[in-house]
Amino acid sequence: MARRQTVAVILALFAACSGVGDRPEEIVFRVGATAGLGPLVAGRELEGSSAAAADLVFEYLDQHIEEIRPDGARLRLERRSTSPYTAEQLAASFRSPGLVSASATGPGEIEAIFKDEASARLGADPANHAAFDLGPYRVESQQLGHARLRRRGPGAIDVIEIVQVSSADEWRKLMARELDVMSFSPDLYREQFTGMSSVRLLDIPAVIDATLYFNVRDPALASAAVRRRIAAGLNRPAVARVAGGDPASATAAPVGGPEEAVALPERLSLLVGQDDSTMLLAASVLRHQLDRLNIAVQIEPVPLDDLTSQVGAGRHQLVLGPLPSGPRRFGRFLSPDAGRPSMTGFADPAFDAAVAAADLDRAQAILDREMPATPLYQLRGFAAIDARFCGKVEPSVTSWRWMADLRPCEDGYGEGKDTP
Amino acid sequence: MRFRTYALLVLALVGLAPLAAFGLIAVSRAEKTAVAEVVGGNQRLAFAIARRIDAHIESERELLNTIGLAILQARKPDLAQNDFSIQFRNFHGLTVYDAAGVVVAGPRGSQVSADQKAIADKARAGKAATAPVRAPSAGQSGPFAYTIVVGEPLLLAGEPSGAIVAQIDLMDLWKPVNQVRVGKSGFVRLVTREGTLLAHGDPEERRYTFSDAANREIVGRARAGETIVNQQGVESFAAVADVGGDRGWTIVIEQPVEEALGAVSAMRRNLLLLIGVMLVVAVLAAYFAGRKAVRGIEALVKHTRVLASGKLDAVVDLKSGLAELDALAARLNEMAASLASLHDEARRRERLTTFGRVAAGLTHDLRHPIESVRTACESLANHREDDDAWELFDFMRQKELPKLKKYLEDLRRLTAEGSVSLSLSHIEAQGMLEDIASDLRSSPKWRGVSFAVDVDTESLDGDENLLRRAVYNLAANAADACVVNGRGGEVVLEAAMGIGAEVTLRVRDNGPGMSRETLEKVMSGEFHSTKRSNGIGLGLGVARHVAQLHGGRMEAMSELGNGTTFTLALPRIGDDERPGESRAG
Repeated sequence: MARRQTVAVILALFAACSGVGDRPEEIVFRVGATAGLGPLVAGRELEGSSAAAADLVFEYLDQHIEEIRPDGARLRLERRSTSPYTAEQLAASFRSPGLVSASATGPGEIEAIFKDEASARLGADPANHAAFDLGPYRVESQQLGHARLRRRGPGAIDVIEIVQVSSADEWRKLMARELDVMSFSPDLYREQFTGMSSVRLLDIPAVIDATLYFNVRDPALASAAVRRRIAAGLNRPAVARVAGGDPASATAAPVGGPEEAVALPERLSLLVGQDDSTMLLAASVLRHQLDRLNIAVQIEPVPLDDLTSQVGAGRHQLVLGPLPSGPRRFGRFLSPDAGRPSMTGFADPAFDAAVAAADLDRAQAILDREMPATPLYQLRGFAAIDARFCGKVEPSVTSWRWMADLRPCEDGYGEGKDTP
Repeated sequence: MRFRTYALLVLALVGLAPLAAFGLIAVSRAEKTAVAEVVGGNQRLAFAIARRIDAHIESERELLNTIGLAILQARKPDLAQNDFSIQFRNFHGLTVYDAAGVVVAGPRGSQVSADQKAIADKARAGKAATAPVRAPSAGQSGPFAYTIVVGEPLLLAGEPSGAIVAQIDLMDLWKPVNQVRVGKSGFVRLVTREGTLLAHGDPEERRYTFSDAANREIVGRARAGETIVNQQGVESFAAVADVGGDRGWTIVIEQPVEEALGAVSAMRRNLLLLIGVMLVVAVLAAYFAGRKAVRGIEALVKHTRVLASGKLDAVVDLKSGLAELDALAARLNEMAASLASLHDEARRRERLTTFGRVAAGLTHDLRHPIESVRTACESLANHREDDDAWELFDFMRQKELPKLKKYLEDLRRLTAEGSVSLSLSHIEAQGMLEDIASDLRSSPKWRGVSFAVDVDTESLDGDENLLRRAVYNLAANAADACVVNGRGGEVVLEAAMGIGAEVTLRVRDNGPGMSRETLEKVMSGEFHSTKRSNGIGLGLGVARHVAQLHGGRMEAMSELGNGTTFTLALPRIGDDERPGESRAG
């Protein structure tokens, strides 16, 4: 017996010394989360960097489901014939402990039971991206400010590590090779990376507008005429020039005739995230422009969490933030979400009906009239990626799914011919 | 060593060695000069850039002062501060205090950092102040790069009126640093005393923003006058200058060694190229210029081989174009002609010698028949009635006189042709040897000597007359040897198949034999008179000559007290030399 143990120990030592059983080194891709990183859980509403990261883990409901039939706290989901997954697989990936349970009731039908009817309504949102736990990566571990995602199937990058960092540190960590990507940087800072061959800059399509939100519940801004007057008094190209680096990125001014004379508030506070440099610049320009309307603006740079809580509680007047461009702008930023007030406090059944009917012109007309928010300029930017990573990718500011298509360059630095 | 190689080496040594030596010395000196110029020039540049950085910071201070005064006097100070912040984006947290220390414009309360408060206190006390370099704090998005907090006292019309404090984003320093290029790929590095990299002209080097220790090492090596190796592994010459004031910033000018010594490297490359070209030229020159000489020498060498083979009449016709070689060829021809003449003379003399020796041999051979005839004639004269005398005379007439005639015929041919030709025929060996033995037995002088014949082959081919004479001579010598001590002996005549394609005729006696020295003399032809012979030794010469005429040889073995054996080893006559044909001897 002792001899067997000795042999086993010798074999183990030999294996350790000779490298027998060594696995190839994992390829890890490190990402900085500058907009907060919460738990990546299916079925929950995710925000900030978590929402972008969630696209690496979860898939959209409408990718796999043809039809959703609400029934109180239940949803009956009809599987799309094009989905590569079976109803059982979809049901299994739809489950979320404490939030929803799901099971396949037929070859093409799934029944999901939520904890309450409100949750079921949220779950029925076709744009809910955290529906199925079927993305290219799965959550291997996560804790506050850190998540480690592991590839489900074959792929070039084994692990994606997401670490919460401040915007101020993100670029230096990229430069110091502590991060492999800066997922979004405003065009304003493009020059700082000029001539750096070991960092590749990838343009990001502009799908977000920097937007000035009005809290319609605040007495000073309760009048739509006041909001329209303020919106009309803004010089968007000037804001775009200073904060975006290009006046051409300014959005169109609101349509409408000459504004009627209204009494504007003498003072307004403007909330802005303290680590968002371009928004801070934009706030300074707005302050200058609103002074011409005799409105003294107090800029309040606050941490992101404070901003979210203040806006959620409606304790604000003006806030600068992002708004998706295109049809998605008519989503939860402007209309009540699952019973919660929107960040503007704006609620109009007619608007909701128009959005539900996909009558976006009518919805836009209502927005122009009610003016709960006014877009200022497109947030144009780029992703800066360590040149060791290649791949035909199209970065997005709202989703990090593109990172799943990256791979280490075959010849190390310098590749880029196959990269947009 | 071949002539070509030798010539090439000489050419290379004479042509290339001085060039290489001079080139290496020149390159070495040029390298030293280049290094001195690069380091000196970069040092001057470092001082200039340090002054420029210093001036830049000072201008920033003045600008800050101007902004502070403008805000202080503005109708809406906060708005003015706002607008200046937009205009000058490298100034963050612009804060203006009045003379009483109250914030007139800018962040207030908790938005002001401890650094900023300390600097503000100094500035309000009338002293310009600067905080150490710091990285932007977490959550602070304004500054992009490292920052310093600067405080400036404000004097309005000469009166202390307050102070302005701002955090300056040192990214503003990137421009003046980036604009400088040293050569094609040399850059400027700006580092704090602590090793913080504030700016670098090479964007790739900027990536090492957290490598403080490496930056400190680079500055240390540069101050020591050593070359540095940057974060990308490029070795560079470095020059250092300190930025003015008490900032503790250092400018390092870096110029890659490869580039700085580019001209010297080019010179070294050109030198090597030149040496290579010269080597090729030397080889070609050696080949083409030496071709005539080498070919001429090779022709002469070839001609000497022809002469050595005996063709002395061969003539070399050399027109190399090189006077010495052509003269050598002419002398060689003359020498060959002279040698040919000498050769002919030698041959003529040799022929005479041969003639003499053969004639002497014939004369020697003539003695026996003449003596026999004389003996027969004397016997007949003395005993006219004696039948034996008549019988002897008749025998002599029939046997010895034809021999005599044959000898005289040989002598005539020798006189006319200079040689004796072979008359080849099949010889019945037993009969020939028995005849010789019989002749020998008949001679009264060898009474007491027995002659025996031992034949192991039926016949042989050769000139019977000459072979008879040769064997007879050998046997007569053997008989002489046997009787020289006054006692009898035995002489055996043998014929046998020899080794390989040979036939041997052997004469063996049991006489007193010869010493080795005597035998050597006998075989060398120097032996002319010995105790074993009363002749002059011509019999041996005739036997050897006969063997040689047949293409064979004569051998002898002897031991004192144990007799002597002479052997004529003759080649067998081939089918192409049928008996009856003649062959010149």
